[in-house]
Amino acid sequence: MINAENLTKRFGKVDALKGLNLHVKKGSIHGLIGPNGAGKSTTIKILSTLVHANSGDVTINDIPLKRGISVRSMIGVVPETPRLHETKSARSELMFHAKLYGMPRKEAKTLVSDVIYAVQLEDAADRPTRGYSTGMKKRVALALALLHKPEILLLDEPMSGLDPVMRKQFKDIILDLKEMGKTVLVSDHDLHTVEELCDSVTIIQDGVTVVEDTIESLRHQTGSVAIELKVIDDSAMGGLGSKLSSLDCVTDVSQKRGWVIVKVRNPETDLPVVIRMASDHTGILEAKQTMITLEDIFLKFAGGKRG
Amino acid sequence: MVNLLKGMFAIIFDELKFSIKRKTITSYILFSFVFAISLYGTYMQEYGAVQGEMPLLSILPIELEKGVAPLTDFAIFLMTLFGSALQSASVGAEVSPDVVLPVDIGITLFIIAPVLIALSSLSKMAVRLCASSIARERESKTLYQLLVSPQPRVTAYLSKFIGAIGATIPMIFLVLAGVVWIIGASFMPYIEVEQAVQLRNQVLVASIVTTFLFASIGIFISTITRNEESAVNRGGWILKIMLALATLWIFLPIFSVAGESAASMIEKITMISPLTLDMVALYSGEMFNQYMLIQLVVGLLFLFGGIMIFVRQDVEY
Repeated sequence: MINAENLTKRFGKVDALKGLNLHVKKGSIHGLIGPNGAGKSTTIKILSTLVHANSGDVTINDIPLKRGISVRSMIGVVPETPRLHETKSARSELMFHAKLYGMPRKEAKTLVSDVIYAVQLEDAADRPTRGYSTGMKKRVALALALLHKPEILLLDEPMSGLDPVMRKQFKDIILDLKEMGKTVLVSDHDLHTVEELCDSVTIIQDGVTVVEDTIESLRHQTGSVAIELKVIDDSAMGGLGSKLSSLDCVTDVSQKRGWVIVKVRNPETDLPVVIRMASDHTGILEAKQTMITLEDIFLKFAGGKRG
Repeated sequence: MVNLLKGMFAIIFDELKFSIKRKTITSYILFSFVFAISLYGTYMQEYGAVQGEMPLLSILPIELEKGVAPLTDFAIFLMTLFGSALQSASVGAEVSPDVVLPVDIGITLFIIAPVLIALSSLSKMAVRLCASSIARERESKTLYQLLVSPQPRVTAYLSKFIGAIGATIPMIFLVLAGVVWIIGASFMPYIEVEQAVQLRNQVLVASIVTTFLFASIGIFISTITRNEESAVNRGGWILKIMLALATLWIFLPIFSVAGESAASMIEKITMISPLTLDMVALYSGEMFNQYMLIQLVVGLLFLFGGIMIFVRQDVEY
């Protein structure tokens, strides 16, 4: 659906993208994650045709990005900080947008009312947008992006600046979009949100793709469950770590504040093996099991830098 | 294609609506007031088919040639008037207390006062509105809305241009009405119908072409400037310089005292201004088409230059 190969972008002396690759499957929700300045927004701006890449090939639905009109008809964009014409109401902003797509007036009116209802903005739709909160502006931006029923949605940090209630509503709307068969590309700092929403992710750093896969597959590479072990004798921690590392089922072993953290792929079969080996080696004071999160995956691949 | 046209009209209408709302009504009123006063000043003069010779010109230190510059013409007329009065007094004839202007002097005054006011006001509005059009949206970061729609950037640019320039149309009609009125009320008994029609058409064409040129300059500035205030200020400064050069052209005969080469150099500099070209073209009648063509070509260069930059620009949201 979205294919970007060796994408580069330079702003003055700064290389924002240095050969980024991105592949998003049709009908999926794909997360684009990376630290600040990694190139997430630049990538979305390039896909939106707002920013021109210096080199690289991009196709959306097999149509090259250069064919701007065809591509833009297929996409809806929600910017990180949506700006609206302050003197216009959300309804007139949407009506203008509908005219840009050449919609007949009657059809546009119906669609505008539908989309206002979908983003739950009925009460404020006829007020000038200058008095809108960040959340309301985001809703208008989402309504603008949805109005022409695009196949693909590009959401740049859609949850930033939203309160928990609104975040939940936004998540539900995005999940509904997937149900409707839309393809969604989400860039977000909140890895929990991405984890809840996305089927697959691309982790980027310094303008380069670090890893790209389904979350399930990344979990398989990283380990899906971690067991944290507190040993009686701290001096035995090093030896225990090396011994556990030698096990095939263990994907990673680390130490943190007196705990040995062991990651395994299959908790049902692997955890008993790990605990047995650990107790054979030294006395175990405490053991607890935690799920490997996207944050752990991100930290592993992005080298500890957070977005 | 139909959808593109619908979208284009939507942008034109949106920009036109915004342009008219934006203090433009005040500008219309102010312009009408100043233009009406200057027209009335021209109308209040008494015109006649006076084509006297210049009896006292020989005493002047410089040689004055009629039909070269408005100021010289006016000086010649004043000298003629003074000479006639002296002659009449010496022969004891009756001298009328009223000053009767030859109609060509009336037309010259009309060109250097009401028409210059009209052209500079039209240019000011065109450059201001067009300079604001894209820079305003870029500054408020709302430009992305337009550019993520299926409208090509060229269409968006031209639509914004047409919308902004559209707000000057009422002023152009006002200028036309003023021109028709002054020609009919003051000059018609003394000039041929063909000459009257030509004068009317030339003022109309000059108004449209100059407005187009300054609008093109305005939208070009808007394309390369990040915020609205800077864009409008830059446009305003360009217009001020052009107006100053046109005014300098009117007072050009004064510089001939400093020598012919200095005056010639100053004249060449003043010709940079499209407003000077308008003055020269309307005053002499010759070179009108060429000067309008020059302005049109320069306007198109700015317009297409702006488009070339705009389609390659990165837009932030």
